[in-house]
Amino acid sequence: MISINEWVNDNARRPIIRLLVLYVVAQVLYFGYLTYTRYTNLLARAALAAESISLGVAQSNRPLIESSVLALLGDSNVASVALCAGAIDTISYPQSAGGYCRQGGTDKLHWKIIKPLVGGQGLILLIGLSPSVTLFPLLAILTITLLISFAIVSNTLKISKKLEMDVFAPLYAGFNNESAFHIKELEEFRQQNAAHLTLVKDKAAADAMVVMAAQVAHDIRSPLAALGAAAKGLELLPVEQRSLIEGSVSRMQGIADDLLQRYRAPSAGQAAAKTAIYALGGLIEQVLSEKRLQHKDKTGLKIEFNASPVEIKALVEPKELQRLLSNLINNSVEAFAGPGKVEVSLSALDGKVLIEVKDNGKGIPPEILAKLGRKGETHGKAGGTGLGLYHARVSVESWGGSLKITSKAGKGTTVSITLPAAARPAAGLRAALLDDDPLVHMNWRLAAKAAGAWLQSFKTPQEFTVAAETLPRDIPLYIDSDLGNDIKGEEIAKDLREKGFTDITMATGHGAEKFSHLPWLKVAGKEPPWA
Amino acid sequence: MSLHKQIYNVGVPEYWQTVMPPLQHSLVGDAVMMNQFEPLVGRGTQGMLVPLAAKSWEFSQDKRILKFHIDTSRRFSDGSSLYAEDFKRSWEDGLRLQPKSSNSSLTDALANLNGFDQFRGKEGIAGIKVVSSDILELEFDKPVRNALEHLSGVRYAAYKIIDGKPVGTGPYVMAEENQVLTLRVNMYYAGKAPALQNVKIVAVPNKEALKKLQDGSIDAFLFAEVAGITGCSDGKLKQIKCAIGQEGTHLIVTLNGMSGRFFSDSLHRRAFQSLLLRRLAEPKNSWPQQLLVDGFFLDPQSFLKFQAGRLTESEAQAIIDKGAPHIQRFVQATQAHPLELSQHWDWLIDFLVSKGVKVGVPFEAKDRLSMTYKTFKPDILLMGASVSDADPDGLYHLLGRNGAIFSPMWERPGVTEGMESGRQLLDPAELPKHYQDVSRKILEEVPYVHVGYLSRSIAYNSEKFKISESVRSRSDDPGIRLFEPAE
Repeated sequence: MISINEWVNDNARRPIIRLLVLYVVAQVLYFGYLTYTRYTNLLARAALAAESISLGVAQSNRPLIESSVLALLGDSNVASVALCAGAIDTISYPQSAGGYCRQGGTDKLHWKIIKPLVGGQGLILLIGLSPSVTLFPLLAILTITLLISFAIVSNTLKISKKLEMDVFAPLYAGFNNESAFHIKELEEFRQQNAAHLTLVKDKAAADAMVVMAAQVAHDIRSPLAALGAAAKGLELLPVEQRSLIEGSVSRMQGIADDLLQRYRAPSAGQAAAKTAIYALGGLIEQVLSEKRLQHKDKTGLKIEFNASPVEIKALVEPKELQRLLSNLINNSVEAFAGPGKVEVSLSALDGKVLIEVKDNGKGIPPEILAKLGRKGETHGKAGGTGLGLYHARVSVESWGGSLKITSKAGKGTTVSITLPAAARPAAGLRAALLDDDPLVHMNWRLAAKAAGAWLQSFKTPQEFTVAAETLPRDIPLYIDSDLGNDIKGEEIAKDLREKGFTDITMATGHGAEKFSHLPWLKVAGKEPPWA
Repeated sequence: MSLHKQIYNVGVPEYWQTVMPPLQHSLVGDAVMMNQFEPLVGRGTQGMLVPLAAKSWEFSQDKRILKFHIDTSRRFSDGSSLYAEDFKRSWEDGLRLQPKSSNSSLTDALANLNGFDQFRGKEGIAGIKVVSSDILELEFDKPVRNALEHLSGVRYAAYKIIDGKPVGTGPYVMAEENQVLTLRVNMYYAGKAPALQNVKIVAVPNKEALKKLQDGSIDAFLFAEVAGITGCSDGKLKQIKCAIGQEGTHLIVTLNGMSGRFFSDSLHRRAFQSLLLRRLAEPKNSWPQQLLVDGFFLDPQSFLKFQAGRLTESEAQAIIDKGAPHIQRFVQATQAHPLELSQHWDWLIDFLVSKGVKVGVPFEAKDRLSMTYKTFKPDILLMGASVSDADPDGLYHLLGRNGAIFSPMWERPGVTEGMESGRQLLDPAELPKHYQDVSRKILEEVPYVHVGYLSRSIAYNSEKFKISESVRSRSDDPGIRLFEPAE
């Protein structure tokens, strides 16, 4: 583990410094080589010039001397050329007021090459060099290189500090910090993190609510079952009141089941709502009772139910059926400007069940009528979403039925729901129950009594095992999935199947998918099979 | 300001008198005319001859025939092409013109041509042959060792008279008005276009040169060595800089040695030489102000150091010293014949007077050329003569019988004959001895005193110009083509 500074030193500063040092050294070597080469070439030229000038002096050939000197001056490294007799310039190019020979041909900015002339009467050739040509560019380039190097090293230091200040310091504070990041990408990341945290908190709260709701639903199921069973025995109450109690209990059970269903398979939603065969009269009557109470203040409003004298059952999701009937009745009620009547009828014919909701209200114009039932289409309701009829149609169709609306302006509207009729399930007149909940036992016994069926119930697997030897192997067995003391109903079911029992049903609030690995095992709710 | 509109003002120390090449007799005239005219050959930066109007040349084995191949792609500023015939015509026409000096300025190089002596104006010179439109052949009676070097002078350029004015093939076209020359670029110029587009050249008296440079009246001053500008090369004059070259000018005190004149007495002449050079041999800090200028150095010999003809310093001094015994006689003689001299050098007059020399009323030297070559009025006259070449024949123009600036005032047969025969020597080994004899005769006989040399110098405003080439060689072009705009 290393610090940021150490990281920058190891990965940036030191490598850069090494490269720069190498670059400067290479530059110095290269320019040193160039300077040396140029200097040695110049020495060779100076030697040649000294020879020709010596010849010129010996022959009094001034043109030869001049051309030799001027040729030397053609070299950009040469600043001046003089023939010195001691400290006196005999010839000098270019002319100098001070005299090159007196100065010795050198100063801070000029260096010299001295070549004695051969037989030249003590004359020497003094060549003044121009460092500005060779040295100054070298120094300039080196200076520039050093400045750039310094700037680069200095910048790496700054980068290190900036990294620390703009990136690492905020990172130390964490992404959960409310202070904004200076770096755009990091800030975006922080905002995403904050949004995620909010979602997590919301979900946790929602989950807690769902768990609590599921717990409530689970806990009230047994009391509701008992209440429902007890209501069936309240024969002294008027039929209507008894039906109201039974309907209310049923609806509460449906709500509890729905909550549990959502808790167990939240993604399944409404479409996965549990369907079963129900007696429709009770469900409808319960809704109508609620509607009558709901609209009791509306003068002249009548809500009537023409029920069939025989029990009619169909495969429905009761809560959804009641909800859609409630919506349809509300629609009819809202169609009245004054007094009116809503008639709900239930009948069966040729394996079909027909539910009609009929009103004598103002009716629906044909152009609207053709569109109703489609998503987003509504009529006569301020703020209506157009979803009620749409969902009603979808639900009915999901149960294998159909929904039809007929209307005449000024006469009224009739919504007809047709469903396949269901036969009573072949539960038989015998059954055995294994459940640790005494309320369930009570409920089942009441139901069995009401149905005239024979029921043998057991609270523990041990009791059932003792009695199992005497039971026929084809008797329908209903077993709770949680038998207390960590005893799983499915394990018991396996044992019983091995003992030869052939009709085993898991009576549970869990979904069938939980037991899909046991294809021979049926799955049903906790309601008695004679409901 | 755009370079195309910027006008550069260049000063020269005296009026150029003429822009006709064959009439050129002065350094200023040479520098001015170089802008408009091109001779057959020029000088490179190392002093070597380089092609100019002639693409190439060749000598015959005996050095008597010199053949030029003319660059006919060159054109005069009127658009016409240059041919070999233009040189023959220009030279012969030039020789017909009345020269300013004793001789035509063309005689240095052409006097030895076959038929030159017979040339009387009507017939051409037989030795100048136009072989074809692009071949010019010169035939010399006697070889002239330094003929090519002489022909590099602008006075040998080809020219044409258009609307009464001469035009050439050089980089500029000149127009003169009120003694101001305006230079415009020659659109037909075959060489590299000059850096300065618009130039004016004006004569500026030496004493005013520095002031005019500093107040911006002029941007450069050619031949600044004669203007007595000091501190120029040391950076003491701020933006005014000087580019100093090699020995460019002989500084001579000429004496009138014509028959019957005061200095025809050789003892007077030698006494004067001794008297004057003794004065200048004194420490430099006692020198007159006029000599304490950048680029001046004392030298009594007319041949440069290391030049063929140069005597040892001790021998030269010994000859000079031989005049010392006659100084008293010289001084006394002036009492009866006061010396006639100009005002040009006040210090010389003061010095002579201080030595007892009787001096007449100094007169103003307005037309020195006329005095030197026509009227011969003064006994003493200050003169600057160009150091034209490092070859000893370079002095021919001053001392040769047919020299361009030769004057009867300083004619001495021993010297003129020596210069005449010397130019025919082709073996370099023979030159030193021959010209040393000439050099001795100059010190002993020639009625002038060689005071020293002035290095060629150009003063310029460094904020306006930069010098494209250092003025290192005396043969470098002293003209404005050396300049480039500072920005």
